[in-house]
Amino acid sequence: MSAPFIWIVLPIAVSLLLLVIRKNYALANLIQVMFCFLMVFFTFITRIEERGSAPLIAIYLQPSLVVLGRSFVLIESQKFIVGLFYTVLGAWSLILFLKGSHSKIIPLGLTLTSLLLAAMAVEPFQYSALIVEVAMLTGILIAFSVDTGKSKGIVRVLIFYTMGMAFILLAGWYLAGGETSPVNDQQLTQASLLLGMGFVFWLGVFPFHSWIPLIADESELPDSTYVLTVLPLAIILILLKYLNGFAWLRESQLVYQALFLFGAVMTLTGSVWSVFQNRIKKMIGYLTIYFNGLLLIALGLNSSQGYLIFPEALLPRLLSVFLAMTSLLIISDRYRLENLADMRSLFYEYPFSSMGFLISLFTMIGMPLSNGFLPLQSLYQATALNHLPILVIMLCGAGILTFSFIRLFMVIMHPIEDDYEIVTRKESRTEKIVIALLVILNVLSGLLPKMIFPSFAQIMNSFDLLLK
Amino acid sequence: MLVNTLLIFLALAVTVLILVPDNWRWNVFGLVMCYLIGFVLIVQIWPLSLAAVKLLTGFIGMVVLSTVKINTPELPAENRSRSYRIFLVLVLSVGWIIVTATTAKLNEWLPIAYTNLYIGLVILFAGIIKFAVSRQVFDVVVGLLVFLCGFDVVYSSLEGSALVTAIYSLIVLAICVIGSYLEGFSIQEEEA
Repeated sequence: MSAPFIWIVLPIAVSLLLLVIRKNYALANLIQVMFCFLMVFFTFITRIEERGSAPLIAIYLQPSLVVLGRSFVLIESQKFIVGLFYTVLGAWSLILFLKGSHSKIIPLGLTLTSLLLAAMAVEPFQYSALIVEVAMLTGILIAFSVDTGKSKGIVRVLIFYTMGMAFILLAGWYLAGGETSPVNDQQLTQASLLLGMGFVFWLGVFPFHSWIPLIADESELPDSTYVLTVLPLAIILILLKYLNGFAWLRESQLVYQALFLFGAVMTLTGSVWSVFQNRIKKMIGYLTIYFNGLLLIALGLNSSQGYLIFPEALLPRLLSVFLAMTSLLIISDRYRLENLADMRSLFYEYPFSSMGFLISLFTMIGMPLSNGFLPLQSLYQATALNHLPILVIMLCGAGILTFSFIRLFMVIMHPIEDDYEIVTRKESRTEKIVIALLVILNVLSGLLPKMIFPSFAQIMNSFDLLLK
Repeated sequence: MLVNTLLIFLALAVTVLILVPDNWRWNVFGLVMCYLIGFVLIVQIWPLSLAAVKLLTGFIGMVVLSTVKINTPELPAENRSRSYRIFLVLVLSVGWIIVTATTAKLNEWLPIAYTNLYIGLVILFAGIIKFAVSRQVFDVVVGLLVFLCGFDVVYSSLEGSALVTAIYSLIVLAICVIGSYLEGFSIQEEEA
């Protein structure tokens, strides 16, 4: 048995099976939740190596699977990434199960996760661009809302990803040539330019960012947040794989300057556009751009500190989006929530959910006591050493977002107009428990950073050459 | 040599067919011609079976995409004005000039046959213009497929493997299926 078979082929097969039994949605949802956590469990009890002397409970898996002459390779150090992707999918599926909400994440989320892992596992990894394109097409199916029928964002993501694929494939061919023969500065610049263009399209760097808020706005909340969480995460990890795989690329200063530039542009545009948004879903879309920018800046540092901050920043990135999604899903279940003005005095009816939403927002800008504090503070410190203009941009972004969130806080906490109006709390006990648990996890991981953050550092084990 | 020159002129004519007429049948016919030109170019480098896979995939995709148009009532066309058509031809001509001017330079670092590179880029540019100026989902998807067809002519000349062909075919088919699915919704919206 091989690792790619378990974490890539098997989930696609299960996804197809769930497609057949999707009429019984609750059962399909439950199976998906259990299957995802089973996949995570497998990462603990298996070892990916030819042979070894691990404890008795360990199951040995072959690292590679050959398909049509090319191989998919998952190694021991990639198990954390595999577990992370399945944990994210399991968490989203679990919330959908608890809320009884219908979503195409069941069962297409399994296919999307498998394809993204396949894109990271394929060797030679120039072909990852093609698999990312297929993953994006699956993501489109998840994000397209039949209720609204709007497809403006979908069409844009289709165009941008396809163009990105073309650039990355050409860059991959160019870089593969550089492995066998020496390259000059001009070739390096050309390859970096091609690769940069590809990732600009894929990550939604300004001015190619418009699909992100459109997808966020046109799709159902769980679908858009899931797609906008896993797709950029996988793409950034693929970018790291490129940097790790090609010596002349990772040694080029141009690449890291480009990462800085893209990160700064995303941080600035994401925060500024987010402040001027009235629509809640669009605001979340812009916030994902903002946070993706911060991740790129961390990588652009090209130092051991930067490569430590990057995985640490993933925890607040994932947890805050998940908390925001859960909170808004609970509120929008019984209350029409479209614009920020709709949140007026919401605290009195939805105390847990509205607080959860606010905490998720403040986590994204690194509020003390939240788990966003440590990585963002470290990022500010590291950037301040040699890249003062980038620090100023980041601080400006965080500053205007803080004012915007304080304004939102005041809207949510606004006293009810009529003092004699009877206020009914509309959250169920399960909903309160879920939000409370997420907030506790958020605060606890912020207070005790050594509890969870070190495990996230394992992500960088797959990119050992970058750390040297 | 003569065949290649003919192919170049045919490609230029086909790009006009894709971009200028507002009847979707002409656009689809243009795309089918692109696949045929691509097949003739790729079969010179690759085994017939692999080149045929791309051609057949393209044809099946076109059938899937056309089905949604055939099965829905014909809506009044956009009625493009003559000046708009002239504008499109001019934009396309600028694209041809850019391709003609840059192909020789590009050929220095993309070591493939000149004809393949030139035709690939001409088709690719036509695709970009098509999806850039279109608002209808159907037209955007046709533009995207033209872009992919042009890119495939270039990339297949550089790199060829069974896995790439398989995934590429899957992508083309998936885009066609998703395109017809989205087009179905947009037609429903227009009718409503």
